[in-house]
Amino acid sequence: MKKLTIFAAVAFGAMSASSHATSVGFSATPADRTLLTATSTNVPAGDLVLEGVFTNPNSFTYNPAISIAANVANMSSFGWQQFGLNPSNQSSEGSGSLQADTVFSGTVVGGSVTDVSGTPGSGQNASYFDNKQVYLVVFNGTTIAGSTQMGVFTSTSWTFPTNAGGLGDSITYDTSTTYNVTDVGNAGSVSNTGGPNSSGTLQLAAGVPEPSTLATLFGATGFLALLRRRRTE
Amino acid sequence: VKKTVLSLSLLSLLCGSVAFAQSSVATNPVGFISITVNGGSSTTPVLTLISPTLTNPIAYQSTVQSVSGTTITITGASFTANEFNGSNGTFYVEDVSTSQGGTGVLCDITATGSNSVTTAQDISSMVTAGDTLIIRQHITIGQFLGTSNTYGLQGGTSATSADEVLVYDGSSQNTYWYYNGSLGGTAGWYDLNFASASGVTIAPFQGVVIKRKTSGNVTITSTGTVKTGNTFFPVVNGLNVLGTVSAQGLTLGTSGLYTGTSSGVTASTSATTADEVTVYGFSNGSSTQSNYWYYNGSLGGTAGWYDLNFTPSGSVALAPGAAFVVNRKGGGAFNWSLPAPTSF
Repeated sequence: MKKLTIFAAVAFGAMSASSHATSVGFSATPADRTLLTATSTNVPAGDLVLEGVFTNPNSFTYNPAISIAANVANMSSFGWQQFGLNPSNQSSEGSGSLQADTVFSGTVVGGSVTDVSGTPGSGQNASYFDNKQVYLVVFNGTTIAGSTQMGVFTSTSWTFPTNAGGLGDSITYDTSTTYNVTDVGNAGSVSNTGGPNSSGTLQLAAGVPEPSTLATLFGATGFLALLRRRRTE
Repeated sequence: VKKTVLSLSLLSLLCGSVAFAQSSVATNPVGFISITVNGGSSTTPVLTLISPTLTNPIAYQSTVQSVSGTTITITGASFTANEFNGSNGTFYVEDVSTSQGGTGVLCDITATGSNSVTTAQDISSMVTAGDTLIIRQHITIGQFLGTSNTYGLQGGTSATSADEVLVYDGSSQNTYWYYNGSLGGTAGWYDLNFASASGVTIAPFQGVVIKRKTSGNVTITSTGTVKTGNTFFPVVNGLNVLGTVSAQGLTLGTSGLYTGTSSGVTASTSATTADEVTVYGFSNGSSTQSNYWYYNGSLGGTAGWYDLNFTPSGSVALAPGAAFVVNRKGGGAFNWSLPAPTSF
């Protein structure tokens, strides 16, 4: 539901105090490519999607042998910068979010992020993203730390608007086949057909199992080892 | 509460594109406003800033029995549970007469008791026992634009191709669009998460930006009740996309935006340091914008509203049905006091 209106002077402190706002949205629609996990199930609704820029994506390769958090850290070393965070100190200076949204029987990317910082043309903060290509990073969890799969996707048609300090600084894209979307560094794959919405798919790449799964595997392995030892004895 | 409704078609003939009905005893004149949304293209969308301007009719009116924090107890009230909140819609209170300096203060209702309402903010410093209080329901997107896209904004299968409806709150905005249903499911207004948005509210102070991506103008007819009396709108640091509830229309000079105090826009010796008001227009197929600021007179000449060519601009219109931008450059938040209309 939309933010409730606030009129009383006493409430002003809770409102935004910024000069500029650049917004980039992705429209969740039945036409969007469906988000699939590595095992071809729907990415759960509400799972995390980030948008940002990637200055050296060709040098990044997804490593399934390390954690998702480690892969994201690796992305940062190749110029990944999340939109809505200050490029200098990574502090939050935005509002809104992207996420996996349920549309019909599938999940797709939806939502919007607004960066409310920076002097237009200064190269700082929101202006850092001006005209750069948009990259989406999709996770199979609501946090990076809680995810075991991820995908990185982009289109040359997705670009951040110029932070000019006015009303035209917002743009909305979608992940339909209208756009030629590609994966980045083998982090996921893209299809133009299939998926619950028959609109193509964005599929995540498998990663190392999450800790609870590891514990289960370790427990099973230990149990088998114990059985083998007893048989040997 | 007395209400009068005259023939809208008759008023249209009498008053052109802006018309309002009233009688000699009217306390709630009603009418309509015709708002033009300019055509654009997919490569060069045109922005049109609009606002409903008119309100929903008064749902309840009485006096304040007492106020404590966010709870306002109302004299003689006998409400049902959640009568003014929840599934019944979003409502707000307005204090229309007070000795506390809060005449025109508005606040959302979050809960309804048997004889009281709970407000979203503590406005007890602006409201006192004996004040006249009215309750109205917020205008919604479905009501303003038609649940089935009455006026023919471009729908589509995503917000990328459809006309976008941006509802601003300060410098932040939420985007809505009309899904045409061609891929299945229910046609209607949706947000970017594909959640139904027909019931999303447009508060009186909120400006709406239509981003039109196809040619041809669209005429939206806003119908409702004329807001009378003084009204407070919040203005915060940064970008403010503000609607207006003045069915009479305002000019920069009569707007009350400049007060000479911290409760108004900051004047200066140049537009670089003064707060700026931007009025959007349309020319040769594109959006245009004109910036205005208040010269403080300290370098000689006459203090007042000027454009960037230093042309006196106090008569520039803030038209009914329009919205505009105030760029507040750090002077702190204030309540803009919209003057009560002198005629309709």
